[in-house]
Amino acid sequence: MGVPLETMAGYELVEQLSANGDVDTWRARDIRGVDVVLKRFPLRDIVGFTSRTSALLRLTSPHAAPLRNRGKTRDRLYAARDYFSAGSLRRIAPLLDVTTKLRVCADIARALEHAHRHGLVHGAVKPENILFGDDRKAMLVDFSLAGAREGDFTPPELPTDPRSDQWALAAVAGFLLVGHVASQGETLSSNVALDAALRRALAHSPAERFRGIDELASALESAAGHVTDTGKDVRVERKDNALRVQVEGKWTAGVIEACTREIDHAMSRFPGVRAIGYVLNAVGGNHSHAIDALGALHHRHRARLERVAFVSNSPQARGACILIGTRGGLAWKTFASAETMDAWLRGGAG
Amino acid sequence: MTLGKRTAVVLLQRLTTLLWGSPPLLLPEIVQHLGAMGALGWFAKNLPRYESLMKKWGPLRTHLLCIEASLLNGCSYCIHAHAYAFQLHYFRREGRLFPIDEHGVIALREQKDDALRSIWKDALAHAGLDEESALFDRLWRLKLEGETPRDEVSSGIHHILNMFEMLNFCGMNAQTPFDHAHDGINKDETLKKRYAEARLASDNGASPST
Repeated sequence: MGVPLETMAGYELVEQLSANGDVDTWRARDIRGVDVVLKRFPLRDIVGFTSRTSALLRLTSPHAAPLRNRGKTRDRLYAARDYFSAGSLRRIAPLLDVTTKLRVCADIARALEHAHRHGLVHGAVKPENILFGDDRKAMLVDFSLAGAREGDFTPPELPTDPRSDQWALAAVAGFLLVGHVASQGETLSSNVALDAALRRALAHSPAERFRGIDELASALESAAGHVTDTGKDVRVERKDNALRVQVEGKWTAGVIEACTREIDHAMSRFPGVRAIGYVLNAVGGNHSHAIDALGALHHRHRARLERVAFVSNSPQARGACILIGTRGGLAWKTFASAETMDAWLRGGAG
Repeated sequence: MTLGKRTAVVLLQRLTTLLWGSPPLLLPEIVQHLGAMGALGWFAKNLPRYESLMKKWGPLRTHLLCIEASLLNGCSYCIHAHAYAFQLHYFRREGRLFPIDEHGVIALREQKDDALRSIWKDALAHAGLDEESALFDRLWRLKLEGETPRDEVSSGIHHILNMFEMLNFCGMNAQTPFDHAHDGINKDETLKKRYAEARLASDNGASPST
């Protein structure tokens, strides 16, 4: 019989994986005998720890490792997540083809997009923090709980902004594509659109990068051939002096293109149109690009358009409406039903 | 950023530090969006009315309305800042935790409107805040059903809705990282520590597998 293992909060500490100052990480075993990774922190930052782990508990992305447990003992704080046995992206990368590498990066970009909406900046995106379990699914670990922040995948600035994660993920994608840590100005892909997207995400100043990581995710998905894009989720029709535009599904490049093209076409075909009413329930995809494109479209037609209104069935979709409405610089409003929206567009309400 | 804009940011940072202990990370984005004079004018116009609503209605009701306005608009940053302030006030007044923590409130933005409304009203009922539930219905009608303000209460709610249309735009446009509770209660470090300990002990929303 071996020496009994040290225990903490019901976990047996099997093997120390790393230590950084007063934060250490262990492979541990829970009471069911299942391996987990247990990270231990000093008590002094209980406020920050509780806030970060509360946000982590709410993550539902399929590629963000969920937090399994967290708590406090007499002298320590701890957080436990799944143990992934198949290894890290650093180890597995040589076995992957280019399409799979791009798909892994796209999946991680979506996990980061989800985390950013929950107020979490990862702060240490690198191949060692992208792990694979037995099902070969890529999982991003150590959200906002990482230790040392230095190395090849650390952005030029302090990683406190979501755009720092964008830089780090683009550096990881470049590393996977060219086989080494890319240098400034190096071509990263023969796919021109992907190369341009990666270079933009790697801009020295955060202000020059994409506003949201969804734009990088969309570029990676397109390059990986991961997008079903028919543009058929858009319908534009005339209703009195207004256009009624219906957008469902995801903000794919095809949907955005169809949306702006159809509206431009209808605006030139019906000179009496003075307003646009959207039934807009699209979420996800290249949401940032959709906002830019529709905001610019309203601005372009501002000489004729008097009002823009939106009906949405969720806060996420409504968030896009607020950004589109404000960017266009016209009078705008959001509604719960198309009837109330139509009344306002006719000038009868609000 | 021009010198004028930088000066406006510094002035607003000083003001909010005085009020809440530290400045919101959103301020540079507000100045960028409205311009230096526009931003100072916006605060001069809106802050006194907001403070007078806070005085009249108290922090719980006021922060709830700010959360609800931001929740319907989908702005995680503003939901967090006001939900955290609300949680601290509720914890201090009631000596117990609100049924959903601030990150759980943020997660509601991923729900469809019907589900969001039902979960939120249940939480208010469990917290003994039925009167606030009725005010949420009024805010909903003003925001999404084209109702116009007809009395003093709905005109106060309308003011909050208008304020948050601009603040939520800035928060979402810049994808501003979360900061702290936008309230003087943010200065109470002991309360924040007690609240964190209570959350960890309750493990609200957690899914421990062990």
